Parts: sequence; C-alpha cells; structure tokens
Amino acid sequence: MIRIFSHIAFFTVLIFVFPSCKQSPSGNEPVAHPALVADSGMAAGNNFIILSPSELMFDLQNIRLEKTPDLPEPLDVVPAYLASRKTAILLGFYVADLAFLVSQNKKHDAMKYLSSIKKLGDHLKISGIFTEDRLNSFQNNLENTDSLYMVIVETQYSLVNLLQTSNRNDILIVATWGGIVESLYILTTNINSNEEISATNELIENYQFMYTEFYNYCIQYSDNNLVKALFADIEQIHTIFSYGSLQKNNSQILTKQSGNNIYINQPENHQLSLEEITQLRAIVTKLRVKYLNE
Amino acid sequence: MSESALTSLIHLLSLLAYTRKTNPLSIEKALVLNFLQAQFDNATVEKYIKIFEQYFIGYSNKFEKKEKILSEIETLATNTNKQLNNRQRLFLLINLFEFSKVLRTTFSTDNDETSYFETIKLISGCLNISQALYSTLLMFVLDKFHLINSTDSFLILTGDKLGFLKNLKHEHIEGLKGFMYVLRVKKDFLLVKYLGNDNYYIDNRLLKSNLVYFFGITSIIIINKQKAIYFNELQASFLNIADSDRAMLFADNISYSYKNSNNGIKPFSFIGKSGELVGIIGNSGTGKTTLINILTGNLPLSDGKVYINGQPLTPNLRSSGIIGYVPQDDIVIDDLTVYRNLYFNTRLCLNENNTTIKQKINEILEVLGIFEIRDLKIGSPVKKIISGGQRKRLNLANELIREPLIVFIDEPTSGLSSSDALHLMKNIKNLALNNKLFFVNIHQPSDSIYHLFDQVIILDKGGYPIYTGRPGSALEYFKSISRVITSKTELYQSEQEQILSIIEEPVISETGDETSQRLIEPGKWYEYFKNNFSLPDRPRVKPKKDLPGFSRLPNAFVQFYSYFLRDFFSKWANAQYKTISLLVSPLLATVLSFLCKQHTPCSEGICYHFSENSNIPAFYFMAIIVAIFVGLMTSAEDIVKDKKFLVRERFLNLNRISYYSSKIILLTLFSAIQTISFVVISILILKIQTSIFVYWITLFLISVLSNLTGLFISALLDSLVAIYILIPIILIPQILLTGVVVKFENLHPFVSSKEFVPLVSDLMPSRWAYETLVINQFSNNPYQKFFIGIEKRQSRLSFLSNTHIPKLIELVETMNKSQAEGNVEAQTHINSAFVQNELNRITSQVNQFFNITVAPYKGDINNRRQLINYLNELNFMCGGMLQQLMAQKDALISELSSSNNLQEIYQSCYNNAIADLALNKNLLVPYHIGKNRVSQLSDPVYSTPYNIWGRSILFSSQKLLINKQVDTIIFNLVVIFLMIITGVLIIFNDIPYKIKGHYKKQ
Repeated sequence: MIRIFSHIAFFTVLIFVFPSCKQSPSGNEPVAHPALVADSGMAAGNNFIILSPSELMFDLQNIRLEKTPDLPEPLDVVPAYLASRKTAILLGFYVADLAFLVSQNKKHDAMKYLSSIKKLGDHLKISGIFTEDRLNSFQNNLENTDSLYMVIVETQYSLVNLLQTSNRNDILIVATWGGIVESLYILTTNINSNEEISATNELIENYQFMYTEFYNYCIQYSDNNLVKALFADIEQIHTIFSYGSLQKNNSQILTKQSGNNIYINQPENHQLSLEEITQLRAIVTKLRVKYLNE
Repeated sequence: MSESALTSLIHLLSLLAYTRKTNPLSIEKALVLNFLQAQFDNATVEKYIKIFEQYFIGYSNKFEKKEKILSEIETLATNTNKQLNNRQRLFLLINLFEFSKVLRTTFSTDNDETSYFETIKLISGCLNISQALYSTLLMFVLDKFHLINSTDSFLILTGDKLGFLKNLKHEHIEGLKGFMYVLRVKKDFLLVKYLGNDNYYIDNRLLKSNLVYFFGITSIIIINKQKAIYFNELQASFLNIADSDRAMLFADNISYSYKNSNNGIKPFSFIGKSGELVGIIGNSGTGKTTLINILTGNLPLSDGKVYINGQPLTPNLRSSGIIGYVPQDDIVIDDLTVYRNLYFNTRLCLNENNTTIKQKINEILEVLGIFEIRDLKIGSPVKKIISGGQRKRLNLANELIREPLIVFIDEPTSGLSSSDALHLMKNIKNLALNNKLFFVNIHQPSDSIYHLFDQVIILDKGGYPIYTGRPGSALEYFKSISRVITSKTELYQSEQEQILSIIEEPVISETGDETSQRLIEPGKWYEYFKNNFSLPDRPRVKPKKDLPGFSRLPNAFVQFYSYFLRDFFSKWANAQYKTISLLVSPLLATVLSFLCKQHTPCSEGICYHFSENSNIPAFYFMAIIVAIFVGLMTSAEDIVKDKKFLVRERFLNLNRISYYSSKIILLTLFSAIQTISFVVISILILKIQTSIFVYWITLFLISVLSNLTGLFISALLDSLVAIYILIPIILIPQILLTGVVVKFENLHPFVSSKEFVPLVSDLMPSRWAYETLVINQFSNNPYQKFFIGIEKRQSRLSFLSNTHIPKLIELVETMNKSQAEGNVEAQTHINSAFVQNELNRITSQVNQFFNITVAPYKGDINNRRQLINYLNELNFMCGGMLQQLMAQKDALISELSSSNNLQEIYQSCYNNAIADLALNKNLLVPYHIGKNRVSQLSDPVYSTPYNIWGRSILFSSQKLLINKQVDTIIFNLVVIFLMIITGVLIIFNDIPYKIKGHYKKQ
C-alpha cells in the first residue's frame, strides 16, 4: 500500500521533472539577445518521456488509505496579489493532489482541484494549456481512470512544452518543486516503519534518481531569482537523497537513443533509513507549511 | 336682499319717520307697512314692522333736537356702509326714496320734501354714492324722467309705436300696455319701473305700477303667455359700442363633413359680436362640438370661411391669442391650489410683471366668485376639495385671465347642479358684457340659463342648423312652423325643452303610439331655416391689431421657467408622487445592497469582504435596470397627463421647446437626486470603492435617457394603459441585450457576433452603461491602479505567447498540410495573405515590448520550417518578456506589501467577480478566427480594439475611433450622452406627434 502511495508522488514528480530535464537551447541568457532563427532542440518541440505516468499510476487504483494526507482546500479564487512564485508552487501542489485524488478514485474532488489548477494557470499566464478540448476531455473521461491518466499526461506535456518554448523555465522549476514537495508529503505521510520502507524501496530509489536530475536541472538556472530563492530548500532534500544518488550509475540511466522514449535502468538498491524518511517528512512538512502560509 | 341690509333700511326708515315727530305712530307705521308689503312677503313684513316699532318708540325718549337725529342717521349710515355691497347700497337708497315719496305724498309740503331728501342725500354721501347717481336715481323714482342726464342709460318700453319717443331710446314690446322705464345703473344691473294698469310679473312677483324694481341678469318680466322680457334684450339696447371696437366673428356659409359620414355641419352663416353670449344648443350628436371645433380652427372647414374682425381665421390668427377655448374637461392641476393654477397659467400666457399678474388673478377670482377658495387645493374629481362648480369656474378663469376676445366654452355646465350651472352662466354673461364674445355649447339649459343668451344657434341631428337668433323668439318660430300646440309641454317643460320637443315631435302611428319617425325631419327644418333666415352680409369691419386679445406672449425663457415652476409645484404638491419619486431609489438601493451583501466565512465567523462579494456584477446590472425603470416610470405619464393643457395651449402658440425643456430639466433634477441617493446608499452598504463620479454619472445619464424615452412614449400614446404596456417592451430588451442574462455568443446567429458586441446590443443604452460600470469598478479602484499598466502588458504578451503565436503555427501547419494534400478548398480564408497579415500584426505587437526592432519575416511564407522557427523565436522572446513582467509585478507586490497592507486594500477594493467578467475568466476559447484576423477574446479589458467605429468585444477598456484610442468609460458615456441628445432632438422636433399625426391621417 505504501508503495502505491509513493507512486502517486512519483507520478507527480514525473509530470514535471522529466520533461524538464533538457538543456536550455539558448544557454543562460535566453532573452537578452535572442537568435531569431535557431536550430535548437527546443524549437523542434521534442519532449522526453522516461516512464509512462499511466503505467505508474495503474498500480494506484483501488487503494485504501491508512493515513489520509491533509490536502489544501481547492481554490475558489486566486487572489490577484498572489506572487508568481507562490502561484507556481501552489500549481505544483494541486497537480500532485489531482493525481492523488484520481488514483483514489475521488474524481468529483479531483475536478475541483482541476478547476484550481486552471485558475492558477491563468494567473501564471499559462492558460494556453487549458484548451476547450482538453477541459472537455477531463470531463468526458471522468469514469475512465486510464483515459483520465492519458489526459493528465497530455496536459503535462503541453504545460512543459508551453513553458519551455516560451522561455519560462524558472516557472517550470518552481511548479515542479511544488509538485515534489507535495508528493513527498503524501508519500512520507504513510511511511512509518521499516516494513513500509522495504515495500517502497524501489520507488524511493527512483525518486532519488529523479530528484538528482531535477537538482541538476535547477543548477542550470541557479542565477534566476525565482530559482535562487528556492535553492536552499531544494538543497535540504538533495542532501538526504544525495547518498542514494551517488550509488547510481548515471551513464547507464538516461538515453535518448530510442526516439522519444527514455528508458530507466534500475539503479542499485539503496534503502533510505527510517530516520532519513522521518527527517525527509519533517522537512517537506515544514516546507509545505511555509509555502502555504507565505 | 340680505338681512343686514333690510335691518339697516328699517333702522333708517324709523329715523326718517321720526324726523316728522308725528303722533300717533300709526300713520308712519301704516306707511312703512304699505312700503314693506309692496316689496316683501308677509312673514318678512310682520317681522320687520315690529323692528320698526321698536326703533321708533326707542327714539321717542332719546332725541330732543333734530340735529341729534341727523347725527344718529349719519353714524348709522356710515356703519351700515361697511356691511353692504354696492348693489345693497343702491337698494337701500332707492327704498329710502320710495319711502320718502310715500311720506311726501302723505304729508305733502315743500319744506318736508326738502327735509326728507336732504336727509337721504346725507345718507347717500355716507354710502359713497356719487352725486350724479344720486340725482339720476332720485329723478327716476320721482318719475322726473326728463331730468335724467344720462339718456344713454335710459330706455322706454312701450307696446305702441309712438312718434314722440323717436328722440329717446325706446323699444317696442308687443302686448305691453302702458310704459315701462328702464334705467341702466350698471352693466349687469338695471332698474325697471312700470306705469300702467295691467298685471305683469317680475321674477314671479306682481309688478306694481309706479314702484322701482331691480332687474338682474336672470330677471324676467312676464307680459303674457307669449311674451316675456329678459335682461339681455334690455341690455342689448344699451350696448352702443362701435363695431370697430367690437370683436366680430362672421361665419360665412361654413360647413364641415366627416369622411364616410353624412354628419358634420351643414352650410350656414351667422355673426357674433363681442358683448354677446351665444349659445349653441342641440341634443347629443347634433354637432355642437364640431361647430366649436370648426369655429376655433381645430377642424378644417369643408367650405366657407370664418372671419374674425374681417380677417380670415388662419393658424396665425388662431394662435395670436384672440381666441380662447375652454374644453369640457377641466384643465386644472388637481394638486395645486386655485391660486397657483391660475398663477402659472397666467405667467405662461401674459407678458406681465408679477404684481400685475397677481392683481389680475385676484380680479378674475373675485369676478368668478372663487376668491375665498384661492388657497384651497383643487383635489381630484374623485377626492373633491372644491366643488364641481368652483372647478368649472377656475377652468374658465384659466382661459379668461388672458382676456381673449372670443371665447368658446364646451359644455360648461355639464355635471353641475342647477344652481351651480346658473351661477357659472351668470358669471359668463357678466364677462361677455365686458365687450367679449362668448360661444357656449350647452345641452339642456334651464330657462334661466337659456335666456341669458343673446343669440342661440340651434342644431339638429346630422349637423343641420335650424335656428339662429334671439332665444326669446325661437319657441315662437318653431311653433309657427310645426303648428303643434301641446299644452302639456308648456306646463311642465322649460322653453328650451319645448323647442327640442317640437323639433323632435314624432309621428303618431294609427294605434296612437309614437314612432321613431319625425314629423319634421332635420333636413326639412334646415329647409325652413334657409327660407326664413336671410344670410347675413359680411360685415365691413376694419381690422384692428390692437384689440384686446392680441396678447404678447412672454419670451421662451419665461415660458420655460413658468412651465418648470408649474410642473415642479404640481409634482411637489402630490404627496404620493413626491414620496415615491424620492424614496424609490434609496429604498431600492437599500434593499438591493442589503440583499447583495454576500458574506464569506472568516476567522470571526462570517465577514464581509468586497473582494469576495460575487453579487457585485448582478448589483451593477440591477442598478442600471433600476435607473432605467425609475426613469421611465417618473416620466411616462408626464405628457399624456398634460394633453388637455396642450390642446388649450395650442391657441396660445406657446413655445413647445420651452415646454419640453421644462419637463426634461425637472426630470433631470429628479434623476440626479434619485441616482445620487442610490449611489450613496449602495456605497455605504456594499462598501464599493471605485470612481464614484463615473458610477453616478453612468446611472444619472441612463436615467435621463430613460426620462426622455418616457417622455417620448408619453407624447406618442394617448392612454396610460398603452404606456404601461409599452414599458416592459422597452425594458426587457435592455435586460436581455446587456450581455449579462444571455451571452452575446449565445444569441440567435442572425444577431450574435464573436468579434464585437452585436449591433442590436449596441443600440441598448443598458449595454454601454453596464460595460462602463464593470470597467470602472475593475480599473478605477485603489488596488488595481497599482497593477493595471503591468497587467495590461502581461495580458497582451500572454495572448501572444499562449494563443496567438501557437495558433498561427497551427494554422500554418494546417495550411501546408492542405496544400500538400491538394485540398485547396479547405479553410479557404486561411491562406498566405491571412498568414502574412497575422505575421505582420504579431511582429508589430512584439515590437511594442522591446527596445530593439524585430525584423519582419522576409522568408517564403510557404517555407513551413523557416516560418515556424521564426514564430518560435518570437514566442520565446514574448515568454521571456512575460516572465520579466511577472517578476516586475512580484517585486511591486512585495514593495506594496511592505509599505501598505496590500491584502486589506485588495479585499476592500478589488472584486473578484468583476475581475472574472472583465477578464472573461470562464472563457474556454480565448480567440476568434475571423475572415481577416485572429482576434483576442480573453482578457477583454486589456484587449486591443481594431474596429475604427468604436466596436469591440464587451468590456474592452479601449475603443478605437478612426485612428485614435479612447478610454471606454469616456467613449461609453459619450455614446449615452449622444443618445440623450438624439432623444432631446426627437422630442424638440415633436416627432412623436408627427408620427401620431401620420398614422391618424392614414
């Protein structure tokens, strides 16, 4: 069961992290002197899919919760004075919560979270991803979890594509970071024993790996004010994950040799201790509270 | 005679008798008794002879010297003078003469005579009677007619034609035996003395020989069954005004025919002169009102002409003020006092100063006997305050105050009691004697009224004139023709009823029943009329422009001011109207604001935050509907209620623009008060923070426009019912086409438009007002002013980055795909030209955000890869700039948060529901692909207009006019203002009446 929870978090992270793990085509100064015609990977619109989110989410169906995570209330209104950093973090939170609710078959609640995501997206000026067709797809696929996953995945690709092609990677990072914090919160809320650690061992390892990739991606934008402001928080979790991260054979993990699909080679087994999980939970809970209240 | 006058008389008689100091009392008593019996009934005689005795005996012990008696007489006469009117004073004087005459006859010595008349002269002086009048009256009483100086005022009536009278004013009265002497004391007051042996009756009393009698307007002397003498007949003999000084109406062979009907007025002629009261008599449906209408020029003559003072009756002459018209309906303002009714009317039609106007009003009120009720409200016909007769007299006063030469009065006595009717007609008769010509249309006058007329025109069914002439001769004329003698009618019917009975005498069937067929048909009566009455010749009168009646009207501004005051006071005096008009707006504001004040949960339970009140858009919408509704309701009755005034005032040629202006200004003031109260209350309750001026002026202008709409329909329609049926028809489209109840895109395809507000909605003032209020609330609040500039740029970049550029890429892909597949017909308007146009627009817009100029695309438009790369680069730039702007906004938020409580400002000033509307947050498709362009539908408040005639999507904060961008609030207010100007021009040009006239002609 715990394993399944960890998949929720993992899914959320996947939404943001892996498509984001790509070099900026124009280097660190994308706006100052833009080349009007660039033969860039970004312009070609490639996305990198490491693992099908629907595959991961498939295992989450029909789960009974032992501890229900305390999700933020859906938003009726996004206050106009909400800064873009908090908006993006909340966007990450709500995407994670949406995935969680879908896995729990709480689709009615999920729609409220979807509505919140749309409002946050509008506020962040990324309304382009919430097309009429896409919103209709959500509505029409409410009864079919598999299809709903596919819609969520499409939305995810669209979002990442939009932010990357419009040179707004910093927002992408902040939103991803929100997703990671919320998903880690959901994951760690239900890991309270060594047995539960064992049951989620594989997922945590994958998580470690993805976090490392996210961390490396963030480093590329460490000069950006939005990213810079979050970096200390990102570092805290990285410290916990870094041990496991060192055990991986990076050279064998990622490949884009086979078109758009990226295959994950299973890293060597490394199990976070209960103490580390507890520490991780304390950090994400604290961060979460901080972000929600700021 | 009043009791006080008679008591005074007895008192003086006793003193006069006592001067003789004769004993016993019986001789004087017998004289007084004889005198009283000649004048009064037995009960009165008995009562006053006792009073005489008491006075006489009282003096026996009081006076020793004659000087003391004279002193007492002088004191008594002076005191009596204060209690008596002029007529009563004359009565007293004449009776003293009569009594003295009796005394003189009884105790005849020259000394006594001198003594008596010296005493009466003393009394006369105390009664303020002039020496000349005193002498004339004395000579008349003493039968010394040859000593009467004013021979113009003296008339002899005789039954014989006597040659020696040729130098004296005299009249031949058929059947009169002896002489009857008439002295004209005043225009409405004659003295009559009969010298002869026959028994004649004056006002149902025996006319005793050698006694002086008063002869008033309604008095009658019965000579025999065939002959009676009426006041107007005697009065006519005294009227010796030169024709050049008289108003003269000559109807020359006039006729009128209704279309598709035999009714109308058949040809006839007559002359009416000022000083005359002309009665138009006939049963219902005989054309009395039609005759008045053609004589006044209200209806065009079918044939013939009407001349007034020798001039043909033209619209100009008609409107010169020479003609007065008093319709049957009372043209009075129920809520004003009698005085104010007259005052405002007088100010409108007379160019006089205030003092003169007040003086004239008091005079006419006195003349018509309604001075005492001058400060009473009129009251409605249902809730009467003054009587029907007083109401009629006021109605008359309204017309007569401006002193027209010729006055037409339609059914003045209808609905009045017989005494009221007679009183009114006596007033009219008196007025006619002031050298005015009155035409009175009357249905069934009593004998008293009938004989007030100097001339009657009797009409029969179908509009046949069958008699014109003196009323006293009419019965004889009809009897002579019909040869019907019905003693029954003579006994029980009035003279006029007898005439009508004769005219309509039915044929008796063999069974003895009356049939519906007449003995003499109207056409036949008309034949008799033509045969028996010769047509009068056109009088040769030199028109005089300065005749009274050619009144100079006050100027347009004075008229406006008078109309304004009249309207204001009549509205103000109506408590219900005043209360409802002034309270409806604050009341509705209170109710609406209270109900719309949505509270939301907070740490204290529930709190009110303006930002979270989702009812604000609905409230603004309702505010507009209230402004429209109240504006319409306030004005919709205004003109229709004045219709009867307008009919009468048409004769005055009053300035219509002054009339309409007064209405508009007054209603505008009402609207200002109503909208101010609405705005203030709503702001206090809902804690609205926005530009209060824009909020108020929007509601104010919309209310004024509704006032004009109300005035328009009020002028267009004739009944209140029709008006109130029309109001929803005006109101509902305003509700429907504002874009609130039904979205514009969901309207019928024939009218809906995605690019702009539909044209049909652009015609609705409510749509402009609502847009103004929403944009005002969104833009002009203390919170939004910090961010509006940056958000506008964000919005434009966001549209470019999120929608416009990706959509163009998609269209390019589609176009290329279609071309590759040879599907030329697909998306025909999405072609190279379309793409090039969009490309240029995007490049142009992008350039607005950067210091550097982005080079326009110069490659091949069909080179998909190159074009898309170019667009991607633009998108990349836009996204980067967007992110910079977001960072700027974050920094601003941070800065403001540290210096102000931004959250509090937000909660109290910014409304999310309004923002949802202004930013169209529920929109799913943020663009529209038109024929020539991809247009922005998202964030309408920040969208860039492109239609040069000011059309845009709803809530666009800018409008394009020619090539200039105009703030929507200003633009919309100007549009509403232009609608108001249009409305004013329509009303000033009398368009509603012209429309109505057009349909009436059809």
